[in-house]
Amino acid sequence: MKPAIYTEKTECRDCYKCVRECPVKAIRVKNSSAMIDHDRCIFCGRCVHVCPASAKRVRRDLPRAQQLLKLKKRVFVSLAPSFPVYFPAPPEQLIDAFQQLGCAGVSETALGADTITDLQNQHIAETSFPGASSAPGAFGASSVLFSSACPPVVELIRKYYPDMTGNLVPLHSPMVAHGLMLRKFYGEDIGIVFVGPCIAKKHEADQYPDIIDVALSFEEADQWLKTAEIKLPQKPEVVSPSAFSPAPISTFVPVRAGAAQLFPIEGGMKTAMERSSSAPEGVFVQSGIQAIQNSLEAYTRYTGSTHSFCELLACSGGCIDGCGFSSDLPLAERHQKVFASAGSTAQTTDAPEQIIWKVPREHYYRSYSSAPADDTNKYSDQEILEALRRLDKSHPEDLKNCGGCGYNTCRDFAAAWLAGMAEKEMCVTEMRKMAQRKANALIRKIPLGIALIDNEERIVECNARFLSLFCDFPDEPSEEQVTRTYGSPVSNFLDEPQLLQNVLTGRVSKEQILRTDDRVLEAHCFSIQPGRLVGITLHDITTSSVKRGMVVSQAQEVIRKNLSSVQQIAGLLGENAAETEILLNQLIETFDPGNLPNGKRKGEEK
Amino acid sequence: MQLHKVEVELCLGSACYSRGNGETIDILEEFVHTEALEEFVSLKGRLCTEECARGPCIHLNGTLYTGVLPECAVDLLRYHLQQPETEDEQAVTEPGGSEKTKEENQQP
Repeated sequence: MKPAIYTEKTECRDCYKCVRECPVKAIRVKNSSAMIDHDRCIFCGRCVHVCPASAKRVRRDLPRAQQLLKLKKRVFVSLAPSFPVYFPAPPEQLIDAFQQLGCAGVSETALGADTITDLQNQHIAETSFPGASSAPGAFGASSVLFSSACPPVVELIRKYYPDMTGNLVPLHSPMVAHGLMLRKFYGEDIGIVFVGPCIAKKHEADQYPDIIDVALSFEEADQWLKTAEIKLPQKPEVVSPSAFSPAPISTFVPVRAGAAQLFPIEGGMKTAMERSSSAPEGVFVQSGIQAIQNSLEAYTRYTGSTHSFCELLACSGGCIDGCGFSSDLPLAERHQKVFASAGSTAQTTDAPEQIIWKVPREHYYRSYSSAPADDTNKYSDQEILEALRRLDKSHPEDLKNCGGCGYNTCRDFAAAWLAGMAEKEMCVTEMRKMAQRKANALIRKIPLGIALIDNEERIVECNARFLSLFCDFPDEPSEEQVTRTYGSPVSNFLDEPQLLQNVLTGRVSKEQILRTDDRVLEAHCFSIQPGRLVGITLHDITTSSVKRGMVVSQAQEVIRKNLSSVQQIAGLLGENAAETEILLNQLIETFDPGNLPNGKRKGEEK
Repeated sequence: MQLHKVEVELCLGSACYSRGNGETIDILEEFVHTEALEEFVSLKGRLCTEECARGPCIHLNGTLYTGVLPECAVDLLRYHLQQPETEDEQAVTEPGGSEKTKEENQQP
């Protein structure tokens, strides 16, 4: 199956924007095509957003959800708590809509988050905060714990800070926890479709196919409703309680979630934790992958002995600005909507114990395997210098660090090149230099007159031979004399406006013989930039054609002479043969016995 | 989880093949390989199912599925791996030989 984020190879336009934007440089450029290296990818979705050619795509899972409805008798929707940001309709109508699709019910993923909040509080109290005996940290006495609800954060730590995987809270994400709860409550054979704001949840769901069947983005869920022609009001409707025929009000099953509905907000987990009695103090909150990388980087060098719990969310602002959907709402408004939705329910979960604890407690725990991504910093200085040399960057002034290739510095680029992630052609400055050098050498050394002419019929570039075709120089014209002609009208040298115009307007004229006072020039015109730039090569054929004619005529003369000698010899031979025959015949006649007296008899016998 | 044997027959008629079964073969082969399911899954090709209009067609343990997009094939196989070779499928098959079909919509 395709990974949650993939590259549509044919669409990639060779721009390196994804390389530049990828926080972990998980893009491998091969044959000028930027492919995601899934062993390095943390599924943050950044490349999908920045790709100008839409070559980076999120796997569409809607057909799978539609198929699931047909395969499973009952399918439940696990709805992420950020839903009010995307769906303005009141939850009852949303639930109703999903039920019209054929889903058995809609449950809040926040139920799982509520459970995780409790377990997390307990875990912190038991293990890593003051009074704890064992410190799981791999560095010094500090026992920092990182929340594990956000899948890109988990992937980031597993792949790039593998020593810290032990510092991730060993609990499932709310989505998986919720899946476990639903299956225990409604039966193992149900189908579960997660609907949320996150691309990385698709990746996480792929790892737990027996718990979460399909993970859809809000946009996909919206499309699902639209294809089934189920309309949701775009504005919350005030449902009058005194309606004449009160429709059965759809509610979340099995119960409503509690404070963990705030999880999608930056700091929401902290708030939820603090509403519980056993909350740790001083929870640290951070969102945005760059900031998290900086924090983790600092932790790799940190040797102090503090105890912290960090709530980490890869999307800055939290899931309400998640990578799986787009919204025009200001972030503060989205924040407000989630708060409003959560505020309308109980402060802490009202989920009865028997729902949460139907799942054995240990099932909510998980462990992490580190999956260190190939480290591009592993190369020695010597190797990097050698690589830079092979990339034609041996001089310090060649190290422009322009970032054009997507890597921050030329050294980073060289390391990526060594790791097989980058290609030489990605360095645009180097490629431009190379192209210029090639063109210059060609123009200068080719034994033809060459000029590049723009649409105003001015010379853009020409070579020395071009000048010497028209002006008398005692020696080869100097470089300076050549460059001085740049910008002057071509008619100073060559008055063939029709020829140039034909090429400029796209009517290609292949070759033409031009005559100047004392020369015959063979001209080839070709378009370089249609309508803007043409090239012309001139070949003086006067001298060489004379020589060539001479060779031909002399060869023909040799053939002619040869033939006439043969004819003469043949003639003489023939003549000689005829004469000999006559002479011999005369001799025969003289001595023929037939001419003697019995000669007639012989004739009579015949 | 207890797994059950599944016989997958992919229609390789030209319509089904070009509408997705060509890709589905690769996806299923890769899935079977990476999940080490060779023991449970047999992948076969078959001639035209004569349901071209509703293709791509795939048979799993004798049940015909139509309109199976490549991205859905793994889910379908997973479903059957967890499904005991059911009484009902065989039982419902009509004596006339017509197969029980689970239809799929023509998905976008």
